Amino acid sequence: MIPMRIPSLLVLCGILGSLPPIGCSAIVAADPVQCTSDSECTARGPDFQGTGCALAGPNKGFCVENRSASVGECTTNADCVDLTGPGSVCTVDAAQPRCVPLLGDDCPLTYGNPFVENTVTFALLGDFTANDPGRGRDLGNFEAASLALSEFQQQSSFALAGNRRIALVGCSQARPKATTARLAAAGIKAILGPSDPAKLVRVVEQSGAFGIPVFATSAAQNTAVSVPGGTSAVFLTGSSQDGVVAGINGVLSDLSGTVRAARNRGFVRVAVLVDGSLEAYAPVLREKLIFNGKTALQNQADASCANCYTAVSLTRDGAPIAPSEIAASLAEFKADIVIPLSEGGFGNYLARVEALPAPAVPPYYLAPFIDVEDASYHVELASHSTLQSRVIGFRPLRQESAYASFESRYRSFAAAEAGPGPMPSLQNVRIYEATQLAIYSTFMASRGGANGRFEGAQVAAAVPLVTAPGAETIDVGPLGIPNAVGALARTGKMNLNGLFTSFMFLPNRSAANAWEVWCMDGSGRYGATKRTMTVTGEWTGVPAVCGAAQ
Amino acid sequence: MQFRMFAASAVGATFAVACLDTSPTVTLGRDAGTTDGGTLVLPGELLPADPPNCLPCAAAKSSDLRTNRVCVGDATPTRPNSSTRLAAFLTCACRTSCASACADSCSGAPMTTACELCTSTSCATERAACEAP
Repeated sequence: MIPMRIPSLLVLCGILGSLPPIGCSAIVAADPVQCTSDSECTARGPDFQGTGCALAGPNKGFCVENRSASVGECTTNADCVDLTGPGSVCTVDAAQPRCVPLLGDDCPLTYGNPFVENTVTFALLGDFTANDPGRGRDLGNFEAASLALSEFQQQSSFALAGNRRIALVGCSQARPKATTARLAAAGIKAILGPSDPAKLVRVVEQSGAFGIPVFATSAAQNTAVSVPGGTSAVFLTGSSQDGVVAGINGVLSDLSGTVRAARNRGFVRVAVLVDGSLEAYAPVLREKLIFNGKTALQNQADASCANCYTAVSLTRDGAPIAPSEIAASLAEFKADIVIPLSEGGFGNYLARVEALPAPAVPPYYLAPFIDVEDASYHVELASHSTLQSRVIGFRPLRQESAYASFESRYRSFAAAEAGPGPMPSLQNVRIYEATQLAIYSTFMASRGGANGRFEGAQVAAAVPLVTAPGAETIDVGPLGIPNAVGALARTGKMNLNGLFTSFMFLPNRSAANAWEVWCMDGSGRYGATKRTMTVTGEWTGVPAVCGAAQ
Repeated sequence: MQFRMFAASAVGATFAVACLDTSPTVTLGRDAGTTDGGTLVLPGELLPADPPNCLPCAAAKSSDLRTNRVCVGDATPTRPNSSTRLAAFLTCACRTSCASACADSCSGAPMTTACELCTSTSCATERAACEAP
């Protein structure tokens, strides 16, 4: 490990205009080090009377007039323009403030101005640069977080202690360790994301030591919780693997009854299709997927049902497998129920599979919408009435009116033209909700710190106050903000209720999931049925049968 | 005793992002640290390479605008990489000029006829750049 260093230069008056506490009469000699203690300064002669030895900061080792000012190298962001260049901030909340670059090539997006003095900054990690392969997917996350922030900025009732403002930076997750380490050093107060769950552990490895809260919207890699510092600072607000599997098990149980009756036999044959990051589900499903009264693993080994479970990847060496090959696999397996766990666009794929000569008894499809409400089913299949009755799925349970309001606000916010912009993905919604959680937690942290000063660890510590069971329930969105401010002022706690997310964190730090079953209606919309799973895992309503009146 | 006055340099004005690719640790361009952390050292980390079978811009445009597998290593001296060209197309198609016509395609569906029609006229430049071989 060889640190790269730019050679130290003797620093004096050229930058002192931006460091007012240190006068230009501070004296620097050619000596590489003048002092290690105050007495060494006074011993240097009459010209050094009244000086002290700077023990840290840019003048470390030199005799200066105002020693206290040089313990930290800056007191404002303006100080840092000269010290470390544009794009740097002074970590004013640290015991020993320093200048750290906040923006770089890896953080190209900002909302709000992080360089206004005393601004509190959040970072959103995703694919945002030219070196990232998923900008089309993640730009909506930045818009969602910015929308949440804008809605607070428009509320006169909401203010952090010290009237500090909040800004957002959007940073690449391509190098999660390097970027997170720099952001943590720059004093950011919360991390939203990353969008790629495989990067989460590396983010927490760097943020954990600072106690900075990480609001991760995908819980596929919840091992991040066990990283040092993660136990108290990681909040998995997305769908957890266990939550998704619970949803699949519930719908599969309902669907199995329909299929067994239709096939007139006592078991069903199930095939799971996985691709992309969702391949991480394959081992979980083997252990926890339940049908025919057994686990998938037991079904796979059960000769009495002719080994009635299989998992098939939709890709090989990173390339999509041809639909004809998948169709042949499913026909050979004689799948009754197919569960596609795809990152998006499976409806298009399914249309191509279904266009092939069908097996004698075509399968049912159970489609979980985890991070994306896959528009391709209804685009491709809306006119395919027989298939509509064979496609059923589930998505996060939501309040339709509140969700419709959010969707409208988001589409307006994201569009540059007069018409509505793109629909939000489920991931976008979760980022919006998580940003609100971070803002309310920051509000409480700012109230607790002296003179409005606080660090990320205080934000993490405030999350339980904002998600307190039994406290006044506050819905996310702009209408809830005045009520939230009132509740927090009166009682010091509230219970944030998301559009999707209950923010009821389980012992594994995942938010409990609630699901609703959908069917595709005649106009191609994914209509919610009355079949739902609550956050406690209980199923309510009668089993849904798609293609029939609900 | 002789005193010398030195004009200050903007110490460490360069944020050594480029160094992150090759060095195990990187300081932020100055030696004088503070007592709460000493010299700021960042972990070095290589940029990930393109996955096998990443999607060129044209393929991503027609299959899934929200894909996370666009090529980033295919820039030429005269043409930005696919990620950059797709981002420009997305901005036009999904936000500035065809947001309504492309609502489904910008929400994960493959390119629809309505989106094709709109972008062929209102996003012609971005579209041509994306489709360039």
